[in-house]
Amino acid sequence: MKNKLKVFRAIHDLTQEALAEKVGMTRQTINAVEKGKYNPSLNLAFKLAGLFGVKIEDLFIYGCDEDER
Amino acid sequence: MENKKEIKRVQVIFLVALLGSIGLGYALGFLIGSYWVAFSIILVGALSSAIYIKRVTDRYKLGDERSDYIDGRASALAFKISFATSGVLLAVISGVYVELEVQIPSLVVLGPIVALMGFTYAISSHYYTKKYS
Repeated sequence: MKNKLKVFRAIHDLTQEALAEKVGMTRQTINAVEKGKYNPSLNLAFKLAGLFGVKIEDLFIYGCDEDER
Repeated sequence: MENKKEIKRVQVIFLVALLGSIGLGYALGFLIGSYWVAFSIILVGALSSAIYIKRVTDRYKLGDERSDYIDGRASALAFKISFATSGVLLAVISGVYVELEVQIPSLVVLGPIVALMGFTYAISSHYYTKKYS
């Protein structure tokens, strides 16, 4: 699953560390989500979308590659 | 970071409780002359301090769902491999006993199974951490 986390992070001028702190995660988790290595839970996805003021589907693009978990 | 300081403080308490119970267990066990007393005190001390540190750490740590996910997958894989292996091992041991009437002590069987479980967990934990990082 691809995402635009890096773009929205840049728009809001947030570092991975700052974003991680805002959503109560570790920087490593934000990095893994950003790189598409880890698919976040619905809870985290809603938190991230809510923080950037967008819909989940604006932030995460489903069906870009095989969704293997 | 407030949380890190708090966790550090709790880790010190944990170590003191753990080492204290080991010391107390050994001392009392030596004085009374019973290994079971030493073992019981050490076990109770180790378990209660481990439960304490887990509860406090869970309260203060950041909710890192990725590490929980990795831990879950690693534990599941370790269990699956250990369960299958111990099943085969026990079947072989039973076969040996039935055919040759040779009994193998349970410690000799349980030790490698527990070691295999720990080893598999460590390897799979490392693998999944790499995969999801």
